[in-house]
Amino acid sequence: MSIEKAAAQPRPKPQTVETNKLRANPHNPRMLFDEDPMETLKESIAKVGILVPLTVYRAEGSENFTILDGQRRWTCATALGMPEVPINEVPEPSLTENIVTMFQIHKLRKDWELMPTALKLGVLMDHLDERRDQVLASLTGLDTAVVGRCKKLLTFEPQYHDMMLHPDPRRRLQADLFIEMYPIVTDRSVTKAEWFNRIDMIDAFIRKHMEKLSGFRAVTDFRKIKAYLTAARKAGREDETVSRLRDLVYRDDVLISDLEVDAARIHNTADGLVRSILRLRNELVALDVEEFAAEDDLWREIEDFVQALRAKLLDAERRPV
Amino acid sequence: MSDAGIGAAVQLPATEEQLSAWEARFRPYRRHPSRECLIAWLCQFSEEHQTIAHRVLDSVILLSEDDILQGYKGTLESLPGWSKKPDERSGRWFFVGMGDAGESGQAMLRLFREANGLAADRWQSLCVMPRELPGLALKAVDSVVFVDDFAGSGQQMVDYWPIIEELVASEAHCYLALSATTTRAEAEIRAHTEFDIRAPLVLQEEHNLFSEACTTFTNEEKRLLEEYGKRASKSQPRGFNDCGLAIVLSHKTPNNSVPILHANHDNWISPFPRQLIQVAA
Repeated sequence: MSIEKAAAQPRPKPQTVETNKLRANPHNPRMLFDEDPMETLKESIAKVGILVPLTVYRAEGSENFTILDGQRRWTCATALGMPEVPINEVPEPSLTENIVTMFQIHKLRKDWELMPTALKLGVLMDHLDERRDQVLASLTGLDTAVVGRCKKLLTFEPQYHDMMLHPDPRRRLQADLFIEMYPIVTDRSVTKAEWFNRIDMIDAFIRKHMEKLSGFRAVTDFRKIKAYLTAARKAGREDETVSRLRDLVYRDDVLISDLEVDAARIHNTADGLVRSILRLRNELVALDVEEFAAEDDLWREIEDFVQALRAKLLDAERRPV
Repeated sequence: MSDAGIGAAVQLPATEEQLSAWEARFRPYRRHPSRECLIAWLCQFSEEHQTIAHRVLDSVILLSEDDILQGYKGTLESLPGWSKKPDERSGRWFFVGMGDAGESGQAMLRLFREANGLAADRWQSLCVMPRELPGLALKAVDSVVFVDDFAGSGQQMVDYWPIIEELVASEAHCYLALSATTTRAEAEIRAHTEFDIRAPLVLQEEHNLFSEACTTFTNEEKRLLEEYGKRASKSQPRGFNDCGLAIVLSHKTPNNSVPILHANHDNWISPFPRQLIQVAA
């Protein structure tokens, strides 16, 4: 058949279904789409229709089709009142395949509740018998740091998972509380202490955080505790601090700041660093780029400095800025 | 319950018959109000407002434990595809109490199981916590019954739905079994979630003591009720989300009910306290 004849042949029409027979994939129902690109897509669909069929599957026992890929097109079609949309139907994925696919397709909302994601990551880890952060990140498309955070949540006992899933938002505990608490309840010196009782410690921290006792003001206060533990370890006064930590857990009149054993040295060092960083930052801001363009050594040092900064921020588990 | 103020009442604020009738009607409450308690409560209203207070008590709808059990029984029996016999059941079935251990949802799940003959250990595998849902690999043919006591405005369920949806992560049929709800909550939940809500008692607009549909009180009496409500709760004188209800469940009074019925602090005592220990106003 000639090319002309082939082109003249009617193209096979993709399968279509009624728009209201489709449903969003329940593994990731809370997607946030930017309004501007959605408006552009809507205008395009209004003019030429949906050119790329949606990838869908029919769940066992269901009358509807679940969208694997094409949620934005479906949303636009619904808004435009299109009676039907083109689809490519694929077999129903297994639970693991579905979770992996949905992790890969969609980005997480900024205010996403992390616990449901962590639970699904847990299902995935069990099904695949895979624990490595990098592999899980690559499988799911989640950031390695998010995988790490989810895994920390999964180390907490089921009753704490329930607290993060509480129906009443006023009583629901935030994942950040547990993620920030994690380094303390897993600290090697703390867990080796004779008095250590993990549940007592977690419960006490939750109560103190909720009731703002012992100087707890924000979830980041756990970083102070960790810093005091590390400083005490370096100063050879670990036992003293761990013992004070016991008092902090079991007594409300003991403050976080009471854990400090080497405060002056740390504060002095931190103050000195802050001054140095401010001076350097001001000099960098004032630097005329064109004037120093040929100073290769300078730019190389700055690049190395930025990398060192990134690594340090990552170590400190600071969120990307 | 404090007896403060009782001694000051020279004349009873209601007739013996009224007091006896209320006392008998409110007996199913977990810590039913005594005659002294009712008198003390009435004495918080001025003499000219006593008939308003009487009508508030007359308006109280109290669901006894037996009412709740009967309701849960009727609910499960009405769900298509459910059978106690596994081979007659359509898909897999799971029952979930709303809230963590020790909370009303879990207590209600225990009542739900009792009501439906599912209390024995062999049924335990059908009862799961929300955190266990992702691992069940639910399918469209499966059903999950979420059990709770009451939905007043429906807002909490609507806000919670995205989490539930993500945990259920399938087209499994999600039922919400309640003892009671309101038309407003029912409409909200139907509009904004995929819960198939089932409640044997649905309170109408007229059950909101402050609504125009409520003819038990005049507008002036409603204003006075709100003033008393402010003494009981400055922030929510009409109850949570302005629901203005007078419903009491045998185990707890919903916060959607008017606070004059359930607030319990130095400035107000009530016949159906949510807090059994007095707290600051």
